[in-house]
Amino acid sequence: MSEYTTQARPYAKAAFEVAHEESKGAESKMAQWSDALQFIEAVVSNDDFVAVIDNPSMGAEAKGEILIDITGDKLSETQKNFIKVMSENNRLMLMPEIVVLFEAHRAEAENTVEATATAAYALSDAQVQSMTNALKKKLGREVTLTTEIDQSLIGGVIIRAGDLVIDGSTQAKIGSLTQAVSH
Amino acid sequence: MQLNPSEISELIKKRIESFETVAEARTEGTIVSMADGIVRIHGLTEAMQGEMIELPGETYALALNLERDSVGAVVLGSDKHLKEGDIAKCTGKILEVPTGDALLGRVVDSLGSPIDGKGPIETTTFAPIEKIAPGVIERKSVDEPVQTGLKAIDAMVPIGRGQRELIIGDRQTGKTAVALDAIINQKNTGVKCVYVAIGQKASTIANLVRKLEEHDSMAHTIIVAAAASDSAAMQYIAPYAGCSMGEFYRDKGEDALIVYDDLTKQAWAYRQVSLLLRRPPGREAYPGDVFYLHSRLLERSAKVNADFVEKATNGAVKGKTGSLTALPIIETQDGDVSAFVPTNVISITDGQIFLESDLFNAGIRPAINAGLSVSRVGGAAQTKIIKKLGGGVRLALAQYRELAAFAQFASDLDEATRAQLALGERAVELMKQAQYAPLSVAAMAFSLYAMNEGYMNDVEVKQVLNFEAAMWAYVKSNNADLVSKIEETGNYDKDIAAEMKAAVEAFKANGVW
Repeated sequence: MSEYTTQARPYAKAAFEVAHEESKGAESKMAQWSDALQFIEAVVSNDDFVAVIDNPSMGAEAKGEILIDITGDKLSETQKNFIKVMSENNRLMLMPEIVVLFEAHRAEAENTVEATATAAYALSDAQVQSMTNALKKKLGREVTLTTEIDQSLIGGVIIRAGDLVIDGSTQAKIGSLTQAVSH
Repeated sequence: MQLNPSEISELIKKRIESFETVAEARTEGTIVSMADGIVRIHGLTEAMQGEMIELPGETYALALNLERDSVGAVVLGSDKHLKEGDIAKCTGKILEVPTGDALLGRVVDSLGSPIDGKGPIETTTFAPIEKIAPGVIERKSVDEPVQTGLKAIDAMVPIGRGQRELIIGDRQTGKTAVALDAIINQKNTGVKCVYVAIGQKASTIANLVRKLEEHDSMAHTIIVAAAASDSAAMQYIAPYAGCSMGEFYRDKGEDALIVYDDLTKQAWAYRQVSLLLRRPPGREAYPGDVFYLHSRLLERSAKVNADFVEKATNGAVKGKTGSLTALPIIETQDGDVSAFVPTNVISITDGQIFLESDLFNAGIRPAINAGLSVSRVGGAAQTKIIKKLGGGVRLALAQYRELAAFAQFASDLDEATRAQLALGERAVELMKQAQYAPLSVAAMAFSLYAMNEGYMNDVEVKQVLNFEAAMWAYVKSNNADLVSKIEETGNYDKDIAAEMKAAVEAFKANGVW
């Protein structure tokens, strides 16, 4: 996994820089690039297409052509070229990592972060708002908070933003109490 | 340990009361690969070098490789229950071990958890296992001796408090025995001892503990054991853990002695960990930082000045110096001291005690090679009387070695040469000493005095040790005042010399051996 990330890094960076260049005009192309990359990823991850990638009797360029045929009408010219470069280097299977890295670049540039709050019960709008504000203060970025419900937490809430985890759930508290008593 | 139910509920209540519930922000990652005790964790962007990483099932790992997308960590303890996809959390803490007097008399593992079945260790002080050694300003030169109780060492390669003296030799040459005698001899001296066993058989460690108990020496000793069956990570960190336990005494103005038995196996364990972490191998497949592995450990053994102690204790202890003396042990293969690890450690330490199988098999035990063994700083710390009287032995042995080879071919020797050989033979015999029988300063002084002044010249070589024992028994019962004077001051002057002369002559006239 980490090796894939290493290999995917230059592709994601290049894609991001192209998208950034293209966005300098009137309208931002960032969202379109995100959608395009996610679409390509969905196709590449499809079981039938995995068989195509793994097929040794097919040339690298042909694989790229097939992918462009499938996705063609949704992609810009530069995005098609991106697929060609990737297929020439046999790196199409790196798409999932590229999407993750591209989104990270985008969040960095737009100064945003996506966070999820998992709670035992449905959260009220006011609660979500106050959590969003607190997170914004802590991380110094615009926060998009999505909520999930997991009753196994018993109570409290877990907030995840990237690698950062703020665990205020009753389940975690019981866990650490178990440790404190048993040692 | 016996506990009644009310005590147990009291204990649990206390734990619950002192339990704090704070939602902590921590970074998390997932295990992406797991093999040979090494986990690779994706994420954990804020992990520190040497940080403890919490894994499921109350297991911890030590972060050693911080890479661009992943963290390489060694699992401390069993890794059987870990699997790909498990969550790993940062703890924000560097690995710490308990320290303090509660550890004395106990056997603990590399993490400071008791393994002797004597119940939990009640201590409130902890110290990180990796600490920076005291700097130049904070140190003081070595000026007090550590008496090992072994004639050959105290007379020829004296060890001072705060010194690092390497014990090096092949297998089965009595390396551990020398260190063990040194520990036993610290009984009632106030010097606390730490014995770190690395990569040894658990049965060997159990034997050693029993021996120390038999000689009433566990009360001042901590045993840190990373047996051969423990993971390489545990064997790698054991010396650092032991060192932190010893530093506790150094930093509060007391004296401690630490034995690392042995650093060769620790280097092997570190080599294993490093290769599994895919660090590039160098000479003998050791990683590039194997010198630093030992130098940063041994630099922590030092004598520190009163200012340092005052600062370390926040002013609670004033005007006292502290010391941590190290006796690292290195096992050589077939006497090869020019291998990688032995040369490294020889260059780091302040001298070495070189043990040889040939001498050992010839019955000279401890099998110390007097020519190759040196102490670079101990001379300044040696007790005056031993320094004065011990010089003769070294010289006699050196001259004897030279003559002995030559004398094998010569049929008739002149009187002076024969006398020289006779003295040398007796010096070699006198340097022999039984295990677990450390000698006091006065006993050593009398033996050395008798040899130097030629009182042993008419004693048969085979009878030298009997003579020594009989003389000491005689002197101890007839000259108790003189003995206690020597023990207390350690001085040597004309009066003492005269008294010793009278005592030895009285023994030769009246004693039997």
